[in-house]
Amino acid sequence: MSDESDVLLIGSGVAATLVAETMLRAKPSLSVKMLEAGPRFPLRDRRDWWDYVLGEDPQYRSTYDQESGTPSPESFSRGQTKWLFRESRVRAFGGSTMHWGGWSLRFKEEDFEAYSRVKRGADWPITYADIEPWYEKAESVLSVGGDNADEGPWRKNPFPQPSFPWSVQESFIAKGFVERGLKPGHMPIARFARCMTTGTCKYCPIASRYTAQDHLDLLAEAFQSFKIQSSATVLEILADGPRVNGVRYLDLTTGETSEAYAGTIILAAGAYESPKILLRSVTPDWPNGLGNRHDQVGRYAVTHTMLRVLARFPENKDGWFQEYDFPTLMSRSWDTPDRQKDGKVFLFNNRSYPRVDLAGEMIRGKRRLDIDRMQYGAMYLGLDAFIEEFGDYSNTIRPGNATGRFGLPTTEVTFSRHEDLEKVAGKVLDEMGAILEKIGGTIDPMDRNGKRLMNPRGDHTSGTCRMGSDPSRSVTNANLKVHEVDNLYICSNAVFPTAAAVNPTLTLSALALRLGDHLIHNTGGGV
Amino acid sequence: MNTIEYHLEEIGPEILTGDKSGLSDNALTVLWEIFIRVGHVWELKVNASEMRSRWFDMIESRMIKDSGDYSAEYMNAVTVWRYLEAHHSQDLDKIVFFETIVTASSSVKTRLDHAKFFIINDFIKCFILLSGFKEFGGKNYKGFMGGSRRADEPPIRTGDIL
Repeated sequence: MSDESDVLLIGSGVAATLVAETMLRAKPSLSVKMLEAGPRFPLRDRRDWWDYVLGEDPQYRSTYDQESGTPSPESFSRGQTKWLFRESRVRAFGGSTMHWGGWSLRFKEEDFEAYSRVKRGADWPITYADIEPWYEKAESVLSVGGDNADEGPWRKNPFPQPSFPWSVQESFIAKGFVERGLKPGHMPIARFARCMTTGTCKYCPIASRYTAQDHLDLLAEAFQSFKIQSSATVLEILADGPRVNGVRYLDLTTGETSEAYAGTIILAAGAYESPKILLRSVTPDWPNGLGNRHDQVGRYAVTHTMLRVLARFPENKDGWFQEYDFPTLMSRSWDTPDRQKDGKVFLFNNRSYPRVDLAGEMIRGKRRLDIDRMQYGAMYLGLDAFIEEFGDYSNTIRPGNATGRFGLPTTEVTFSRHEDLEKVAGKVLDEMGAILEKIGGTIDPMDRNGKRLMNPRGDHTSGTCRMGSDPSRSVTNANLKVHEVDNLYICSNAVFPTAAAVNPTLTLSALALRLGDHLIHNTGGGV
Repeated sequence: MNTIEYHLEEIGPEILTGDKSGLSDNALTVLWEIFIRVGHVWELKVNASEMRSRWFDMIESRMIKDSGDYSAEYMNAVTVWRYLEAHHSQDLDKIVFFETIVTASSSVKTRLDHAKFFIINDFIKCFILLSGFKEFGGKNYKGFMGGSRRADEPPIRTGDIL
């Protein structure tokens, strides 16, 4: 039986989903196939939800990367700075939307022009004005709630949903923001209108947070020509000169290797797997990997480093504790052009504090009086921030020689921080601490958790197949087409030339919608 | 000759398997009694009857999978509780809630350990998340249905809007 389709997508996260939907809705006769290496896990399963709220892990967590030090490591940090893989991506049908927090922030105008402005990173081949309409569409699809009065890049139309109000402790911290000259804002969060604020956002029992899995199920029902295959790991893309014609993949359910052919291939496998697949796709025309004529694939790996400050307050007289599962207080007052040279900073409330594990203390045999003392006694409040880093040619993601789970090659990340980062981060940590001190907090200089520059964690990995105008310094063009390959596109955080200071998912979603539209309208029908 | 009391009988750490025919009304009554005792012991003055349907949903959902089916653990908890009521009624709360602390499966040895680790610990968590947290302040909690984001009253405690 011939396995041919008009369009083949590798990956099943938000990027692949939004490209597929855009194309299918515009041209329902298209045959579209999607291959996903990971398995499918149920959503809205009563038992799983109860297990989760009673303290067990959602099933999808079993797909997280196993790092060095675990019994079967499959992801390795090789550089001078330890790179953390833990909990950073879900390898399952639906991708990392299975666990994402829904933070949906637009990049700002200057993020697209970093090199021109401050000679760091690279310029995007598109501007904020180019992507703004796609941000608006993405916010609609993901159902983003925000406050139109908050700081941020210009927007033509208001947020589709209202913002979530600050919790009482966040209002308290916001006063510190104001005292220190920052403008407090509301975290733009993706939640559908039916959200009942269960506080179990990592496993929503009522589908009130966007997941690609739900979206794909709706598409598969609506379009008979759309086929999804999970537990199918793409091993390489088959190329013939300047064209690709299919993929070779491993069917994990049978153990057999098969080929699938397509007129257009879209690589949407994230910032780790996308470059790894390209580098493993070697032909006489592409001896260093597909699209890698200029040694750009898998380079410029970057993510966000988190800064954390915790301050102690003498009492918690009203018994505050976290009532959402996400922060709603943020500020973009340090996410500004004047900070771009050193790395912009995105500041937000630490959602874990104040914290007393009420049930845990009861289970540990504490009496009511003891628990009241903990609940109303001294408390911690915290602030977190992402600091922007810029891609460096020598920071790479490469496939290892061994095979990990799901038939995927092991992952090797070589990353070393810029020499100035610790100095810059130290200043920012002091500024963050000053906010909490302004409202009465005390930061213990001997407490290693008082002010912390954390290790880079892979959640927001980007830059490994960056887009650009110059084929010798980038992997794709402005329309995400791989340079010198006629019909291969990349839709992933991998194409970001800079990571900015905020979460990448909304920008990725906007790029995916834009790509789907481009393929339909600017390439002769897309196939 | 010393005889080991029923609740201290060692039965190993693995989750119990056995009769999966379901819980009788009497067994459910005892389990509910254990659940509401959590509220009494920690003086959580919430209306427990309003939690009953969701508490039952938890019980039911933890008996519907072949792997990790809690049916036999529920029955063990019922028999342990009945035994302690009959033989240690004065010290029941102290024995169950304050002296038997089991927070890791590797520490589970006796029938009482099983009842505490697999059932009563979960009842404590369930009691807190279904409403017990309100006794410590707050309107919302992980696992509680806080309410619509569009409601007139926010589903959480809020402060000043700056």
